[in-house]
Amino acid sequence: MKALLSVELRRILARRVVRIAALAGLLAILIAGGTLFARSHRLDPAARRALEQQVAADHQAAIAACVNGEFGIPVDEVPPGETLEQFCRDFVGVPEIPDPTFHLIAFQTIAVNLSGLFIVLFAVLGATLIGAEWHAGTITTELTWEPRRARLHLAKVLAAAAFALVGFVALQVLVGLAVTPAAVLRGVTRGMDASWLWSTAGVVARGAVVAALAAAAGASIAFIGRGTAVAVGVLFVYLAVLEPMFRGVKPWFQRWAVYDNAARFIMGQTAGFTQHGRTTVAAGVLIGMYVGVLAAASLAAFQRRDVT
Amino acid sequence: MPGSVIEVEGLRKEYRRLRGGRTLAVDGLDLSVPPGGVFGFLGPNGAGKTTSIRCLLGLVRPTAGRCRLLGAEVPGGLARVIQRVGSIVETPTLYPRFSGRLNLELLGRLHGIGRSTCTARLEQVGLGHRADDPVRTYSLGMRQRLGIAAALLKDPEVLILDEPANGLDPAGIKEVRDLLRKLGSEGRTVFVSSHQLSEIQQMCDQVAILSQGRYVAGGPVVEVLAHGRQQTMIVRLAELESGRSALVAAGLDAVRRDDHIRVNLPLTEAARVTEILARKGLYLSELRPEEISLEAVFLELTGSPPPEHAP
Repeated sequence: MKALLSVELRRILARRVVRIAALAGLLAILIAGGTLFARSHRLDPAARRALEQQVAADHQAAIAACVNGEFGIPVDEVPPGETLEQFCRDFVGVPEIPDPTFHLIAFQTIAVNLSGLFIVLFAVLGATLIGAEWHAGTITTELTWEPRRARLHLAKVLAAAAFALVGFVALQVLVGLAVTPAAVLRGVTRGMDASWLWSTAGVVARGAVVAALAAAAGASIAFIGRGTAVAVGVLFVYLAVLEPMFRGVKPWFQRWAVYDNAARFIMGQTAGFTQHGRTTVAAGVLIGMYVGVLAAASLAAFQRRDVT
Repeated sequence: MPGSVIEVEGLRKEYRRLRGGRTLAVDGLDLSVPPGGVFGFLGPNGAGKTTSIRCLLGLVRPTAGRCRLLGAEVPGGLARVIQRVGSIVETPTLYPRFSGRLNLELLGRLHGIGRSTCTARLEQVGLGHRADDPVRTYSLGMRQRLGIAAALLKDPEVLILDEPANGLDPAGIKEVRDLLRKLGSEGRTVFVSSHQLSEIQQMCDQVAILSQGRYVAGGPVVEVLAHGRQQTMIVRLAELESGRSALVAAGLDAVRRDDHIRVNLPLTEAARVTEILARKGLYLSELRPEEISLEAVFLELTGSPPPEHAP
């Protein structure tokens, strides 16, 4: 099994699609890091004061415009006991002072937001790794070297999952490294205590687990459908069409939805869009069970069907 | 048969069609391949050769019947003996974007076979100079050679090769023929399916002929060639027409061809032919049994045109 797994990993790393994806990812991360570096800058006290004054002046001008009727608000819409100016102050709201300085603690939010993209990437890669084998017919050749289909199936799915696990962490670390110069040289590194580090590591680790499960799911569906297109199509139709539709119509379904549970597990807290959630561990276990069932179904199909 | 390397008993395989119905690919095939030598597996297109090979290698589940390879039941015991079996099923399927060397190394690692063995096999099949090129740049013949190299990688006792000469040029065909003969003479069992009957005739010690999923004839090549064909002899003499008339007048079935007379009699009756002709003052320059090609026997047994002449 060790040899089989090592061969599968070697094969994955030699695949062109993997190399292209890695290169594209690296390039995108470098561009993002460079852009952030160029845009981030620290404000000296005088510049900050000037910015605050500018924002305050803009705020006052907006309130004045509202009071002068330029916003077209009918007078009878002003609640009883409230002056038009008070209403306009509420309407315009409290202005935010733009902060052009990058704070390294924001990396955790970046990591959470990028997780979805990376997970989709690894799900597709998992599907294409297996789909391409069926397309090229190499499964036939491999079966003449390892006829125990369960072992071959397990090795391929595990290799896809392991690749995604390591790949996800590598990408997040690269993103972290890419944004660090902007924080160190042109931004702020305050707030990076042990608690933040643990919390961020937890986000990345849980995201990596979900990426591994997504790759295993993609690989399993490709085993059933014997092609990449089928697997990607099934993933897309379920995650982008069926599940959002169903969870919109039946809110209780959020407890069972892949999207809500994956988000809950990665973030370690209930996402704003989830009303009916689970605990972090329960969400992770549920996602794991889904993938386990999918993998078992694909193994059964692989065991039973002829390879022609 | 005890001691057989490959045993197939009552093998039957039906494929279900997507729109319903079934296609019968193999219909009660019995086959026994003894150890050592080259065994040819012949049949017209669609006779069930590849399906039988797929059943033997555990790729396809038989509808009925059983297969044994090196004494192990297929598919249950296949893992126990697969180390001793090398195979090609149809066109070898390897990773097109990987080099020939990488493809072999990845396969070899599964059984602890090192880089040097891979290099040696690539050299053996004449692919040493292209070993590091992607397989997608190989011609069909080169892919076939790579498939043979992969099949030889395990230094197998049994080689199961489905159309190994497919796509090769005449020189390549001869090389493969010589290689398989050499492997057979080393004591390995080479089970080879082919539609190139002349190749099989030159290469194999024994053959089995398959038609519509059934075994129709088999055994040592010389016996199969002799099948139902001992009745004809070729007679050559100066006066062909006089000779033919004399033989026909004596009640024999004789037909004149371009430069000889074909007499439908076994060679054991040669003295009778000689006597008839001598009485008429006609003297033979040649008398021999008609040589029969495997192609002709194949045609007769399967009732179909030889595959290489099929459209």
